[in-house]
Amino acid sequence: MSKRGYIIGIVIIVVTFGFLVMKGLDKSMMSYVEVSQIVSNPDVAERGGVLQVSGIVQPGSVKTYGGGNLEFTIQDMKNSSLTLPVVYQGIIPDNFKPGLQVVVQGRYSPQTGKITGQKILVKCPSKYEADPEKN
Amino acid sequence: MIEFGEISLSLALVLSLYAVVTSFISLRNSTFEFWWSAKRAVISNFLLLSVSIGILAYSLAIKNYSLKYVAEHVSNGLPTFYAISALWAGQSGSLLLWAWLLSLFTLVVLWQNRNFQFRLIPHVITTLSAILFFFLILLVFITNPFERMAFAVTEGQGLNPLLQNPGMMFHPPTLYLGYVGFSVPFAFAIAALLNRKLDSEWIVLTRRWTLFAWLFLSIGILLGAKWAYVELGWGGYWGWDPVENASLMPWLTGTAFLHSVMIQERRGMLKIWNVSLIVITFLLTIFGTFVTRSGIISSVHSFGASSLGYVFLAFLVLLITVSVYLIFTRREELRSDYHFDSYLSRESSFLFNNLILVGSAFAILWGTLFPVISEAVRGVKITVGPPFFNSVNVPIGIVLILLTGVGPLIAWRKASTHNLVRNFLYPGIGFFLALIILWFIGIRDLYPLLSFSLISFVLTGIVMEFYRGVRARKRVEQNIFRAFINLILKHRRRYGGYIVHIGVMLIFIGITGSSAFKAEVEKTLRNGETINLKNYQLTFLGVDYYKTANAEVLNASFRVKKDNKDLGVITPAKEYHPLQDQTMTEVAILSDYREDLYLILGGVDDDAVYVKAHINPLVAWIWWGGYVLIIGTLIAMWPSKKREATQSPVPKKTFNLKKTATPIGA
Repeated sequence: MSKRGYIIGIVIIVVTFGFLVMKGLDKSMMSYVEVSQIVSNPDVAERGGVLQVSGIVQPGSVKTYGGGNLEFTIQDMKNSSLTLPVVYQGIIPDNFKPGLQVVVQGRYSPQTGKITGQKILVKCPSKYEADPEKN
Repeated sequence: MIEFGEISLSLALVLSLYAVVTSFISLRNSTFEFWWSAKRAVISNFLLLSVSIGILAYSLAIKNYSLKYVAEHVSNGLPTFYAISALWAGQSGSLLLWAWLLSLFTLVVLWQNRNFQFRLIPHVITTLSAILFFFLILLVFITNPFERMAFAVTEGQGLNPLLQNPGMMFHPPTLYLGYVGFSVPFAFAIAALLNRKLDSEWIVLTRRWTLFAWLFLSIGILLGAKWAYVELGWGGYWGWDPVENASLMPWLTGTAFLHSVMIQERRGMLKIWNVSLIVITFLLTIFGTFVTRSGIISSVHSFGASSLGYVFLAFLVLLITVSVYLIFTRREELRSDYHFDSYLSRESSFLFNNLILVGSAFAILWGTLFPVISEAVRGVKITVGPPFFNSVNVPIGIVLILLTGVGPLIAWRKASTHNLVRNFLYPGIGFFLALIILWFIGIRDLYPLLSFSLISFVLTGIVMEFYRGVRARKRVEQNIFRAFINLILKHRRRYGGYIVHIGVMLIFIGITGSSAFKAEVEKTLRNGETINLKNYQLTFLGVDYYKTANAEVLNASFRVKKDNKDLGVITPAKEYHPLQDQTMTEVAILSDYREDLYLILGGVDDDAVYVKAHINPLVAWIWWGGYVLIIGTLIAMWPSKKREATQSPVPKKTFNLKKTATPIGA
C-alpha cells in the first residue's frame, strides 16, 4: 500500500474540486455595480449580461400595475441625481419600500436606458435589527 | 436591578481571565490551590452570567423600556412568550446567550471530570474560559445589553414579525447550542496539544459532546430551512445565503470529524487530521458568528454593521495562529500508529468521505468569501449566486451518498473479495433495481437518477445490516420485535448511526425531488378564474380583509383540486404590521408525502390578484428525515454502562494531579 497512491487520489479529488469550483464560478458570477457606474459607463453593463445594481428606491417613483408589474426609479447611493428606471414583473419582496436600499438583479439595455429586473433583493440593513442610525 | 446585571457581567469578565490564568498554572505547576480557585471562578461565572441573562429576560418580560435592548426589541402588544425570545433577536442579547451557554457547558465539563477523568482538564478549562473571556469583552465594551435609554419611552419598537413564529423562536438557540457545543471538543483538543498527549483519550471523552453539538447544529439548520420555507415565502428552503452557508460549513466539517475519529479510536490513524478538523470546525462556528455580525458579507441575516467585526476578525486570527503553531510543533507526536493497508478498506472510504465533506465546506467558504476577496484584490464587486453552490455541491452530494453506503459495510484494513460480495451484493441489486424502475417511470436526468438509485443502495445496505443483526439476535430472544429493540439497545452507537444515515437519506430524497422536479407558475387572476399547474387546479374565490390586534390582514381564497378531486380551500395572505411598518406574506402550503402545493400571494389590484404557485415534490421527506436523524443521534449518544466494542481499548485511567489533588469535589 503506497503512500503515493493516496497522494495521487487526493490530488485527483482536489483537481476535480478546483474544476467544479472554477466552472461554477464562471456560470454564476455577476457584476455588482452602483447606479453611478452604469450612468457614467453604460459598457459596464453590456459585457456580463445579468448584473446586480445597487441603489435606493427613489421616493415617489414606485408604480404598480396588475399582473405583478412594477416600475420604479433607482438612484445612486451617494449622488441622488443619478438615476435609472427599472421595470420588473414578479413577486415584490415584503420589505420593498421607497427610500430603502435595494439590489436589482437583471439586464441593462443601453438602448432603452432601462433595467429589466429578474429579481429584487431588499437590503434592509437587517432583518433582525433596526438600522442603528434610524434610532 | 439592572445594575446587578451589568455588574455581574463585568465581574464575569474579570473572573474568566482569572480562570484562564489559574487553571493554566495549576496544571503546569501541579498546584492544587490554583486549581481549587479556578474551579470556584468557573462556578461563579456561571452564576454571574445566569444573573445577567435572568435580569435581561425579566426586563424583556416586564417590558422595562429603560433598557435600550428592551425598547428596541419588544412592544406592549407582544405576548410574554415572544418577548422573552427577543433575548436572542438582537445582537447583544444573542451574544449574552452565547456566553451563558458557554459558562454552563464549562461547568458541566468540570462536573463530568470532577475526579480527573481527563487528567488535562485544567487546560480544557483554560481554553473554554479564554473563549468566554473574548465574548465577555464584546459584551462589556462593545455591545452591552444593559445600555440605558437616554430618554423615557412608553412603547418599544417591537419584535420583527418574521421572528414571531414558533419555529423561528427556537432556530437561533438550537444553532447556538450546536455552535457553543463544538467549543468543548475543541478545548479538549487544545489541552491535548498543549500537553503533547495525543492519543485518542480526548476524542473518546468528547464523543458525546461532539454528537450533542452536531445534533443541535443539524436541528438548527433544519429549523432554519423550515422557517425560510414557511415564513419567507419565496418557495424554497435553502438559498445559499452567506449565513446559511456559515451554519452548514461547521456541520460538514463536524460530520467529517464524527467519522474520522472512529478511525483514530480504532486504528490510531489520522491524528493530525482529527485535531485539524475540530480546530477548523470550531473556527467555522466563530466565523459563522462573525459573518452574522460584521456586515462584511451582505445577507438577509446580518445584524447592523458594527465595529464588532474587527474584534471577531482579531479573535479568529489569534485562534488560527495558536492552533497552527500547536499543531505544527506537535507534528511528530501526531504521527499515525499504523498505515493504510488497502484502498478497499473502511479507513480509505472514511478518508474519502472526509475529503469530500471538507472539500465541500471549502468550496462553500470560497463561494461565500469570493465577493469579498474579489473586491479586495481586484477592486471589482461581484456576487456569487446559488448556481455556483448547486453546481459544486450536487456532484459532491452524490459521491457522498455513495460513500454513506460503502463506509459502514466495507471491512477494516483490507476488504476481501468475500467481504465485498457478501456485503455489497444486495445493496448493488438495490441500486440497479431502483435505476431500472426510475428509468421506466420516465426519469432520464442523470443527477436524480444517480441520487435516487444510490439512496436505494444505501438503504438496502442498512436494511440488510438490521436484518442480519436481528437474525443473529433471534437465537437468544423470544421474538423478532424484542430482538430488534435489543439489537439497537446493545449496540447503540452502531445502529444509532445507521438510523442517522436513514434520516440523512430521507433528507437527500427530499432535496433531490424538490430541486429536480419542481414546477412553478405566476399569473394574474380575477374572481372565478383558474390556474393549472401539473395535475392541480386552483380557482380564485375572492379576497377578505380584516384586522387583528397587531396586523391588517388581506386573505385570498383558492379552491384546490387535484386530479379533479376537491382538496378544500387555501388562503395565502398579506399581513401589514403598522408598528414595524412591515408587510409580510403568509404563504399557503398543502403538503403530503408526494409534494407540496405552495401558493404565494404577490399582490392585490382592484379585483385581481397576482399569485405564484409552486409544486415542490417530496419536500416533506426533508422534515421527516430530520426527525429520524434526531432519534438516531439520541440513540447513538445515549450513555451505556458497558463500553462498546467499537470504542478503542483506551485504558481507563484516573489520573491525579498530585496527592493533594485527590479530595477535590466540584
